[in-house]
Amino acid sequence: MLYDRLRIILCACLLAGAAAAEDPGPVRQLTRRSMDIGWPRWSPDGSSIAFWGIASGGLGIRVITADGADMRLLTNPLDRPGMPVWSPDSLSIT
Amino acid sequence: MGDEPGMYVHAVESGARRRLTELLTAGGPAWSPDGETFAFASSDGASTGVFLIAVDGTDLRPLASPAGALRRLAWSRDGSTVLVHAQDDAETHMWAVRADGSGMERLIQLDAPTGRDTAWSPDGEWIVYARSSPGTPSHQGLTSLYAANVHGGQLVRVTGGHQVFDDHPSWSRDGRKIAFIRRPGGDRPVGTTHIAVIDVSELFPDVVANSDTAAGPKGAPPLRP
Repeated sequence: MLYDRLRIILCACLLAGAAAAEDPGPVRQLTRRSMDIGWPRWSPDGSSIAFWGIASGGLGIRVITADGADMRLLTNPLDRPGMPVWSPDSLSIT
Repeated sequence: MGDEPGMYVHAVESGARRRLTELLTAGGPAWSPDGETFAFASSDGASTGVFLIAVDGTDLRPLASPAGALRRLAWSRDGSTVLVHAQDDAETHMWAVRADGSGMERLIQLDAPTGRDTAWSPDGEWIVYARSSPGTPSHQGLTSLYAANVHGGQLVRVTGGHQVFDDHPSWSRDGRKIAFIRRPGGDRPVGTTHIAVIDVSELFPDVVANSDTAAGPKGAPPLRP
């Protein structure tokens, strides 16, 4: 039983490693929470990424810093937002 | 207020918002480099077209109607052109539409796209999009990001292996990074999608060299008269 679990873990690690190794450049995962995500958009100043997501807090537009250290919900729970779009000055999202 | 459909602008810091129009966007919107105008796609039920509207919600006007479903819009850096991703059942085309309404031109047909989203490089030379991973049938839902050159059609693989679904790319203004969504496998399990960022500065050194912090892709190829 233990051997089977170890084998599964090893296979999973090998698969993840194989997929990552085929990326032409270094890939960094920013988000850690489990959610459905779409349409990440860089802010023009490069400091943040806005994205559409569904998590335990509901559906909404969230903003995460480029280093992944901070994330917050921007829209109201009753909103039904589409893909986020940054203003040229990085101060607003439509 | 959350019940009223339409297009809204949110202030990132304060959270304040206002509604620009009751029209629903089917693609875009995209903010012009000077911050004065939105381009967006909307449907009147019979057809879908590209519209312009001032940021204060006035001066709504139709611009053009490229064939197909309009997915994503972007402005050229000089504000003269709106770049449009149009998709129908069989083909996906990228269009350049003059913002003054004087014409439009089909730039490139994408090869075997699978996603609904595209992104322009900040220098306007490349379009990055999702297509089936090498050696995998499209129905398996395993995708990688590729970049197609708008002039010669050269295709460059940007991400991916055989075990991931990558889509929804966004190219940073300095040209160095592409943000995208990634999830393992192709069966689309709920809650397993993440935002990932790949450094493409070595893959596209010309994009980095030709990019700056000005707004928008530098420019679409010039339209024929």
